[in-house]
Amino acid sequence: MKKMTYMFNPKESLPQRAAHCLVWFARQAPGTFLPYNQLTKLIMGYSRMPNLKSQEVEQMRKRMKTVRTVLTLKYNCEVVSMPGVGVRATFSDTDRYQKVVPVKLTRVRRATESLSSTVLAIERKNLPADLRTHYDGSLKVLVDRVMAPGFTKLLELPPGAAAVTSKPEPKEPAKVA
Amino acid sequence: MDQTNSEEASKLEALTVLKERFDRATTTPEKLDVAWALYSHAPVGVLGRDFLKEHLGLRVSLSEDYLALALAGEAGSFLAAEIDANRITFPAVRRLLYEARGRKGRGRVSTVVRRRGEHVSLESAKVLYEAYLKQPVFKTAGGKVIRRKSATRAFNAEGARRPSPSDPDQKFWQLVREKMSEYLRRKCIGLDPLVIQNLFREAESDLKTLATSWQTRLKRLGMGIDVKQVAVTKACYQLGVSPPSRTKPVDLNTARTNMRRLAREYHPDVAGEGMRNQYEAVISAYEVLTQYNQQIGGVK
Repeated sequence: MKKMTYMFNPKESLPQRAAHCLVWFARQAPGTFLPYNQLTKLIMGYSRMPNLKSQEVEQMRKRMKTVRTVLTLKYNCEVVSMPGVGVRATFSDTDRYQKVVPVKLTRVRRATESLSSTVLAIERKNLPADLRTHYDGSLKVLVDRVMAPGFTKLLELPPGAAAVTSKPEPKEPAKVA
Repeated sequence: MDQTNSEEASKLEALTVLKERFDRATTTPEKLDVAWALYSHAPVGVLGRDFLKEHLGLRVSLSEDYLALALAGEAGSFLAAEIDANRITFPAVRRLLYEARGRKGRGRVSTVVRRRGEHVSLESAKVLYEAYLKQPVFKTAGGKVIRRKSATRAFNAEGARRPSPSDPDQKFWQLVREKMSEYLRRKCIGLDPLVIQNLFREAESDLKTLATSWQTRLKRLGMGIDVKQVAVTKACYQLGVSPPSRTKPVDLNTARTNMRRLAREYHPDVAGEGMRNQYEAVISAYEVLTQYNQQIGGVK
């Protein structure tokens, strides 16, 4: 890892500093993830690395939502996070397309799947008159469009993007001595 | 009602007179008399020290000193004269009186003042005072001359000497302590023993920290661990796991999961040739941690 020579602006708030630091780091080492404790160290100006489980690192982790907003509004880039490892800012439009868009596309796909399964499980005849009108007029039409093969094809991930999975990796079975 | 008011007024008048007398007094015994007279007006439930402080406008510590002397009776008057002669200080007197009452410590008067008439006999005060005068003279950090017993670990090498321990580590530490004590005694002649003791303790603590780290390194070498702690810490940060405390294993499960995630991210086939260095760094970091854990576990 490169030697850090980052200087933070003490007049800025912590999320602003974090956003600035992430952009700086993305320029220094594009595509590399910055661990949360290192980010905390850089923006606080500590001489030693804080522990990953320390309170300040946890606080930093919780403030990432604000950091995302600052990054989008001020620096026109986004945050890519890897659970357990760290975060980084996107460094190009290609990177944004390959790393951020798949996440959001997956969310849309999962939301449509969830909506369809809910709607299809509803018996139309059991609904009251006003809801039946809404069902026929908008919900059924929407679900039909969402489930159409053309729409599903639109939600396919872009080439080069890794499949987004929220499932934890299976642990290796413990070895018996 | 009128009677109560008149009593209050007369009491206030008496207190004012006493305050004036106190201000006019030039010697400590005179001041003591006034303080004692004033103390007799202190209502039950109010700390005498605070009462004197309020009515004489003194510092808390000085009010305590006056009170301690006033409560000591004849011995107090005798010692007050010695204070005027600059042979003893107020804090030393307070300590002395506390000792005369058969107690140990710095002599907090706030606990003593509750018991009126706790007089100290003149004879015992004189004996203690003579013992005090035989104590060696020291200079404080501020240049003030004081008398104090020299029974500190740093100053008194004999005090530090204990029966020879059987454990070689303890033996070593005893030797170091004796040498340090000897050195300090040679270098800090005439300094306040408390200052010397603090110096000694600081040096001892620094040495122990150093020795602990040194012993851990020795232990690690004895266990055949040749992976440096710095490399392990660096690898841990790279893989997002907490660095282990010395000679403890790393959480390899988390490290493995994170290594796989990062390897997928940085793999040259996915991220291009530009990320090859990062990819190799991640793989080697995991190898370092595996090697470290093997070495730790291999000895068990």
